[in-house]
Order: sequence, then C-alpha cells, then structure tokens
Amino acid sequence: MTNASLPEKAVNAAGQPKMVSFAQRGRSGMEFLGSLQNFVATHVRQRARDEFNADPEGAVLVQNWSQRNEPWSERIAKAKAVAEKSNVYRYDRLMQRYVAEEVYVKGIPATEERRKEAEAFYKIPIKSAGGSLELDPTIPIPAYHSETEWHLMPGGWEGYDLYGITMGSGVGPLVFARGGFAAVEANDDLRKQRIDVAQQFQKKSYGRIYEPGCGGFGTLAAVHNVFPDAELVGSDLSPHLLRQGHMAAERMGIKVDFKQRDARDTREPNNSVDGVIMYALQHEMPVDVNIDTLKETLRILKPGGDLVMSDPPPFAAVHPLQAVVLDWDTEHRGEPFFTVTREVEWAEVMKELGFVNVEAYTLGAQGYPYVVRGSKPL
Amino acid sequence: MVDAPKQPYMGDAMLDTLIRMNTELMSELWILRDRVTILEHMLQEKGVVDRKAIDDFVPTGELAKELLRERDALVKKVVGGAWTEGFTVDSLLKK
Repeated sequence: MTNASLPEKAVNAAGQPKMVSFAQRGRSGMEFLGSLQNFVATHVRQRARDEFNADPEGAVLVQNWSQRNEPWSERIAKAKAVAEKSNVYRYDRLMQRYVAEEVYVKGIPATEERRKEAEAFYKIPIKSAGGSLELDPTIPIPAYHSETEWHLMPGGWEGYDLYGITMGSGVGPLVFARGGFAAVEANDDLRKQRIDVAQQFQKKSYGRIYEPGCGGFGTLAAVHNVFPDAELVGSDLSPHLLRQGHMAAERMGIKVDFKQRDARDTREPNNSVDGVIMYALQHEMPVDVNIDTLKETLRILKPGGDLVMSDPPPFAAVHPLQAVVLDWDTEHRGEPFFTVTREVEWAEVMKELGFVNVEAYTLGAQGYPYVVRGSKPL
Repeated sequence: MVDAPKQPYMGDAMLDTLIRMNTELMSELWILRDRVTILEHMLQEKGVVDRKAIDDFVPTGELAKELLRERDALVKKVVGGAWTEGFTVDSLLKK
C-alpha cells in the first residue's frame, strides 16, 4: 500500500505515512531514559545480584529457591529483605521508578507539542486492507481494568487521546526498544521476541488465530509474519488500543478483525478458532479472570486447536533477585496482578482445565519470554 | 492520579530527592549535548562552521578571560552551594 498523493516529507521510503516524530527536546529526553534504563538493568543490576549472592541469607535462598517448602509470599519477603540491604539494589529500583514515571512526565508534553502533526497523521486516508473495527460501548468494563493506571500511565489507556503517539513515537522506539524493564532484559529485541513466541505454534499452518487482550497490533503482526495466510482476530477492552491496532494493521495492508470484547466472553462460536495466542496479557488480569479466560479459550478452540501464552516467568523459574524485581512491579509500576499471577504455575492450571500436551518453558536466558502452550483435546 | 511512591527507595526521602535532581540534571545535560551536536552538524553541513575548527580552536584574549570568569563562577556556585553561610545584600551583590 502506498500513498503517492502525500507530500514527500509525510511519507517514508515505502510510501507509507511517517509516524510523527518528537521535537529535539522530547526525542533526546526519551533517548536519555532509554540509555539510563539500559545501564541500570545491566551494570547496576549485576552488582545488586553479586551482592545478593554474596549475602549468607541470599546464598541460601539461591540454593533452595525452587524447593516448594513455603508460600511464595514468604519466600519473596525473605528475598526482598536480602535485596534491600543493598544500596545498589535500592538505587536500581529508584532509577526504574524514575524512568517509569518520566516516560509519561516527558513523553506527554513532547506529544502535545506535536498535536497538530499527530492530528494530521490520523486524518491521512488509508487504503483498506479489508480489516474491521467493532467497538461496543455497552460492554461492561471491569473495575480491575478501568481503575488501574497501567504502568503509571496517567488515566490509563483512555486517559489521553494521543497515547498512541506517546508510545509509538517515544516510549516504544526510544525507551522500551533498549529493554531493561520488568521481565524484559536489557538489549532484548521486543519485535523478535513476539515472532519467537508466534513460532511456538506447532502446526505448519492455521486457519483462524484469535488474540484476546491484543492491546494493539504488535503480536498479531508477529503472527502474520509466521503465518501469513491465517485469518486474524484481535480483541481488547480498550477502544483506544483497538483503534490504534486497527489503524496500524490497515496501514501495513494486513487484514485483521478487531473487536471490543472481554476476554472471558469473546462471543465467538464454539470450536471456531484454530489457534489462540496471549502475549503479556496474563499479568494484567486477576487470577480468577485468567482462569475464566482459559475456559473461554478452551470453548472457542476447535478440537486439536492450540493455545500459546507468553508472559513474564513464574517466580519459581527465575533467580530470587529477579523474583523480587518482578514482584516490585506490582506496587511500583502500576501492575497490580503481577505478583498473584507469578505465584501460579499456569501449566498445571491448564491441565486441570482440560488442555492436553501442556508444556512450559523459557525462550530467553533469564527466563523471559516464558511460554506455556497446550491444545484442546481432539 | 499516579501517586508518588509511598516509601523512599534509598531509606531517606531527601536522598531520593537528591538522586532524582541529579538524574534530571543529567537528562538536561544530555538534551543540551544532543542539541549542540546537531547544531554543529547542521552548521557544518551548511558550510558555516567546520567542526574540526571548533575542536582546534584555542580561546585567547578577551574570550579566554570571559570563559575563565564564567567557569570560576560556575564552580563557586555549584561547589560552594554545599557550604551555605550567612549573607548580606553586599555579599549577594558581590557574587
């Protein structure tokens, strides 16, 4: 798809509309945050880890971490007590918090400075790829979703009309692309990670793939990369994210049907999809909502259909300091369900619900991306 | 509203504040360096200034005196700020 009618400055080499760029102050300020987070997550974190390992109580925790002899809350509390002895760890956390706040403190004014360009960008006509956007204002938005300012984002996803620009022009490419936040390791390639996860579907081809809690188009784009012939459907509670996803897919010329749905009630017919993918969704929902979502997944999958889930690893699968780092997000980075969902071993839950051929494993060196996959019985 | 953290990360709220200030200064420093680098690049592209000439330039005369004066004032202001003493109108005007 090209936009030959657009002025040269408004299109990229492929003839597609250029994303809005931040002005120098906003761009360089965000790039600074990316560098800071990257450094802290590598050099500073490694020092904190060395100090944890050298601590006598820390060494015992490292040795016995995977033994299931006491509840996770107690084990995390012990690991946290060891970690917090270290000023290096405390500094690491302060800087993580600083970056998590500043991506919006700096990013929103930088976006606002480009409002005129952003509004023009959204008005550029798009040649349809045949996808659709179905918003349903009658859908009840659960309190866990509407009352959370995810990732310290003021007002949540619906809190600012240009969050798509804040994330797409600033936070995503200038900060997150450097990695080093939550479970994502510094220098991780986020786009490649999504493709790696999409490749965990085991069949050679899939007819229809559904993504509950799709957010935008990121994961479905990766799925399209791996299975270019699959019919794609994405759903989410957020109209803002669905609009962004729809626009991105259409601009890329990829047909996707986006629907505003609760992941527990997709309204898809029984046995109607060949594959379901969930990417970084689990930790954004309470445990009971996750279980209901898995039940719904089982209902809509065709017999023999596959589920691939990727989320931060469970506490059991990582070093105790990394578990403390993951737990930290719950109170400090607007991730209220991070801890409760990391305490659960989801592979066991899937087996109990009736999935078969369930496997859980990691694709990355530090436990992320972590994948749980399984199938609906034939 | 995104609330402020409940507890100071470094065990002391003032220490957190100082580190945040220091980090914000580093951010401002980078934003400025980024801008100066772009400025030099653009000036060179337009044939106004040679970046190598800036590197090789040695300030002399009045310019050297101006830089010395400003440098000393900066050091006094920043390093001296750690030892705040009493002040009068006269002492302030002499700064």
